[in-house]
Amino acid sequence: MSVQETKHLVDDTILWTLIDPSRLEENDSQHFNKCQICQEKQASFQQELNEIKQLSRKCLPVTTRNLRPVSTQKTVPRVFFRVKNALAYACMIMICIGGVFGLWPTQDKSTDQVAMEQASNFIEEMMDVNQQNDKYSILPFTFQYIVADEFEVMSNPFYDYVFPISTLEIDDS
Amino acid sequence: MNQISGWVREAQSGNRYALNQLIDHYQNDIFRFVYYRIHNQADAEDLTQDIFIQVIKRINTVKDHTLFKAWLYRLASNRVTDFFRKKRILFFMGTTKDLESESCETHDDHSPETEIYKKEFTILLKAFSKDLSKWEREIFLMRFIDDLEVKEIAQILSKNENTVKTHLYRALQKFKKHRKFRDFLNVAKG
Repeated sequence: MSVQETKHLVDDTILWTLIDPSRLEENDSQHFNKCQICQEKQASFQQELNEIKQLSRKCLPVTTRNLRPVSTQKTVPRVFFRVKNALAYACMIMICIGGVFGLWPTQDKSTDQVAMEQASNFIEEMMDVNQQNDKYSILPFTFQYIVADEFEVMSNPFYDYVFPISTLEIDDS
Repeated sequence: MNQISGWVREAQSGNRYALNQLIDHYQNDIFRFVYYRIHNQADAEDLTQDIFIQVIKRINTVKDHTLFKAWLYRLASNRVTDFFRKKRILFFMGTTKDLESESCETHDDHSPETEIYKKEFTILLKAFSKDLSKWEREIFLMRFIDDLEVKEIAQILSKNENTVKTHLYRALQKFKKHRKFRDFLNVAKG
């Protein structure tokens, strides 16, 4: 049986001849070795693939600089920056954790506690001022300026002259 | 190959000249490997330099001197993967324009026709690459652009040779169907 009488190899089988000819079946292999048409087909594929290789080299841009590294010695600044970056990242993580879980010192006391502290401070301050002025008033210091004078127990010479104290005294008899 | 093994051995013992010889020998191959994956000259140059810095740092870890080429290409492949990973993160953060590179310019003094021709090749190669799966693309590029043998590809990718052949076969099947690319190659050949 001549080569012409047998079936030509299909394209997929020809592809295998490019990758691994040993994978071909014996009949196919024998046919391929003798058939010029199949060999030409394979050569055509091979040339196209070779052309990819050629063009990839032609189209490769020329490098603008020498690609050989100059030095790979570790320098002090690089190590320093690495440590600095690590610290920065650690701080950032701490801030994030604090922000998310509410671990800030300002949030340690409850709102009621803060209000109570503010109130007791205010009362203490008020008492101090009253003692300094040597006055006695039942009103808080802040309100003493906006109420009438008679609420304060004070002596006024003019009033004493017009209305002597004795006249104001209730006669016991 | 013996010469390269010798250079590797010398470089491991601290011989700077041997190290430079190794770098000079593989510099263009690695640049081409990187360029045809990221399609940007500046990034490819940076990455190539970075790969050789890694080579200098880690050359002592090469145990089998005859496998230096596979080791080098694996290193390059990993760095390219890292590059894309980093770029993807930057893309999601909105600090980079596009995942695909925008530039395929060359800085040679060629005629406009040659430039168009080169651009067309790059566009068609990229279009064809998009039709391939990850492994098919990687293996096809390694075989027909980087001119590596199947055995070497298997070593680089830590895969079985038959697996590599199967991926290559599938890639060639897709290449066969890519009429536009093949026509362009036939015109270029003629």
